Amino acid sequence: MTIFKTFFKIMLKYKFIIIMYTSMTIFFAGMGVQSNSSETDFSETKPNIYIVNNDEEVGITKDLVEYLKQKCEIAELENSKQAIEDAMFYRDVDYVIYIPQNFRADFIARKNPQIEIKQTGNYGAELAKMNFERYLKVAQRKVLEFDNEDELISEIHKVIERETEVDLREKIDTTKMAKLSRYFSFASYSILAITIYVLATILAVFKEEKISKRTNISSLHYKKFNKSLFAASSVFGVALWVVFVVLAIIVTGNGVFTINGMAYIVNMFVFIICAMCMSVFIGNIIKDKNAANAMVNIIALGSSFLCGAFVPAQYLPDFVLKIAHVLPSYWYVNTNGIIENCSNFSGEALNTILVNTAVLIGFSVLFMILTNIVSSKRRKID
Amino acid sequence: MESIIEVKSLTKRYKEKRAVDDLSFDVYKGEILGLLGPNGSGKSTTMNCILSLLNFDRGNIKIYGKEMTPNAYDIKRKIGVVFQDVAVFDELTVYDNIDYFCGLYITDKKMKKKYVDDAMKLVGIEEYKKYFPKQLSGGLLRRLNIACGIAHKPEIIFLDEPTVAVDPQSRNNILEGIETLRKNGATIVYTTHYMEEVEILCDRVIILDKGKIIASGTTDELKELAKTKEKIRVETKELGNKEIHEIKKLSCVEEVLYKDNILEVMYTDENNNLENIIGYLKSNNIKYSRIFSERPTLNDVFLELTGKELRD
Ligand SMILES: Nc1ncnc2c1ncn2[C@@H]1O[C@H](COP(=O)(O)OP(=O)(O)OP(=O)(O)O)[C@@H](O)[C@H]1O
Ligand SMILES: [Mg+2]
Repeated sequence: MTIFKTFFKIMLKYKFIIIMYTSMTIFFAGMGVQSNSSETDFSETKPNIYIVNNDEEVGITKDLVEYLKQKCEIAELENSKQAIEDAMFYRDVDYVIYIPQNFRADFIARKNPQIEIKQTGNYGAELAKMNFERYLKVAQRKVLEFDNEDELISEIHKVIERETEVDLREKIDTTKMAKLSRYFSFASYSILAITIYVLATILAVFKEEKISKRTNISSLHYKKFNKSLFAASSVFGVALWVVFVVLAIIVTGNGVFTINGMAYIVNMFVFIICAMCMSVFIGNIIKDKNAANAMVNIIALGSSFLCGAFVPAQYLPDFVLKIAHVLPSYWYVNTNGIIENCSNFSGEALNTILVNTAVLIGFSVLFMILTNIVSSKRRKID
Repeated sequence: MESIIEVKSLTKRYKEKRAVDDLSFDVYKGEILGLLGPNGSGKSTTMNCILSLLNFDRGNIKIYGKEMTPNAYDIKRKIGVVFQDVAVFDELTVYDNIDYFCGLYITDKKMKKKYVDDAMKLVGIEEYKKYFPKQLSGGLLRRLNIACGIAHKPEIIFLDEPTVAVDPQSRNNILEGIETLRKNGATIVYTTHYMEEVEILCDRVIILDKGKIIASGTTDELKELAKTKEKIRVETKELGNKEIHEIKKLSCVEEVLYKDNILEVMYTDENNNLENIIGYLKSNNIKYSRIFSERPTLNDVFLELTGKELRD
């Protein structure tokens, strides 16, 4: 208990440092939130497409064409191979849909007829493809449930409208996510700085040769001593996490209460663990508690610059990002970027997040091993 | 006498240099044992070896009849150490510092509070309990250092040069504190290179040089070792070679020095020397201003044994 209490007594001596670094996050992340709130919205632009309809324009075929007319600009073209190719070459048309003969009949008969597509592969094409495939997917799903064509069509529209609404909501969320991402990425700097400063300093104080000689000669078992330090550090880490979550809510609003928000928070937790392991290691190698300050500048400031906590990673040169791979902050910030652009946590996004998290945990383990090596060397006296 | 610490053939080498060379001695219950020696003679090294803070090359340490190891926590509980360097937390107040080090041994809150108060009283720093170490004078800092080492009321106390670079007021305070600790029943190993302190404080003295024991015993016993039993100094301007030659022939005179108008006469016996020399001066009509008589000091003993001064 003595050690636990003393840990926090010493920490209180450094309260101004903690407050200073914390306010930096609030200030810069808060500013970023303001300047970033108006994002260009690309999804309102309509892609240019062309439809070659070899089927009769009735029933579901007619509905598909009308749906596409709503979502896209239909180019006015001569229906010839040459004209279509020219239009695609000059990017007057990004996406061409060939509806085959008997499409309607085959579709209703659940024969899953193939629709041929030609596309340029640019942004417009992607947008058109998204709209077209959305209709087709819903239609393919619903045709299994409904025999009546009218019912099928009205059901398709219901589903599509619902999904579009979700889409719209997500679009609003992306600006919110950008705020959050900025906040959490910037927080990596403050967290790293505070953790290194506080933990490394306190550990250096406890492990300073003069003081540790007194501890060593006392009747307190050294394992118990280490346990107390560990307990105090953990409480500190969790408290730091809670503070930064609460600040996230205050600074960025209710975006935190989404799946993405939770993901940021979990990511931050893993990062704090990693930062703590790193700080404990630093605390064990520095000879003098004043060296912690220098470490903060080198490591916290350095890795925050290199890893895109201040400047978004896409603006950083490649070689910088390559170097940044050896720093935990890189993986943390990278995960934040993925969370920002993620609507459902599955597939590749989830994979990358898991890999990044594993790397952070790997770093933590590495630092723990290094700490053990260093401190067992230190305990051996000659 | 019950021996509490037994040191046998302790040898500690740094590379080829023997910092401690085949030391053997016992510490008895309730005594203050002085380890006296010049800088670098191996006092701190001996202490750190006894405390298992240093690995040593050869030898054997027993405390309360049990071998001392880094994991002998039941023995450690009974030991208090005040190291040569001040070792306190800059971030904690005087009170919190003592509270921390006491708390390493004592878990009961009430008892701990009382012990911390007692320790502050013993070294006289109650007024400064809310001060931080940086705000204390050198002497007060030393007193805090001592309080931190003895607050848990240990039975055996090691003090490594606790009065180095301390003002006279703090020094007296510290020496009184150590007396009090002994009165309360502690056994004390006191390391110093101030022979005056040893003479005031210690029941027994071990004199170290180059890691070896060169003499040991009570201060009186040690002084017996000196050939010179009394030294008489006379301030006079009127001596020539003839007189000096005559003084050398007086009874029990071992050596005569005359330099800067000061005559120094060393005697191998301590009886009637003053009378003899004054008689001689009077009968030869030699004027003198002042005369001092000195008993030999431990410094003289050290000088005779090693050919060098204890302090440089
Ligand atoms: N870590 C070390 N490495 C090498 N030599 C050392 C080390 N520590 C002490 N020594 C040497 O061992 C010898 C004894 O040193 P020690 O500190 O025990 O002397 P001391 O009697 O306590 O002196 P002082 O009065 O200056 O405190 C010295 O010659 C010193 O140079
Ligand atoms: Mg010493």
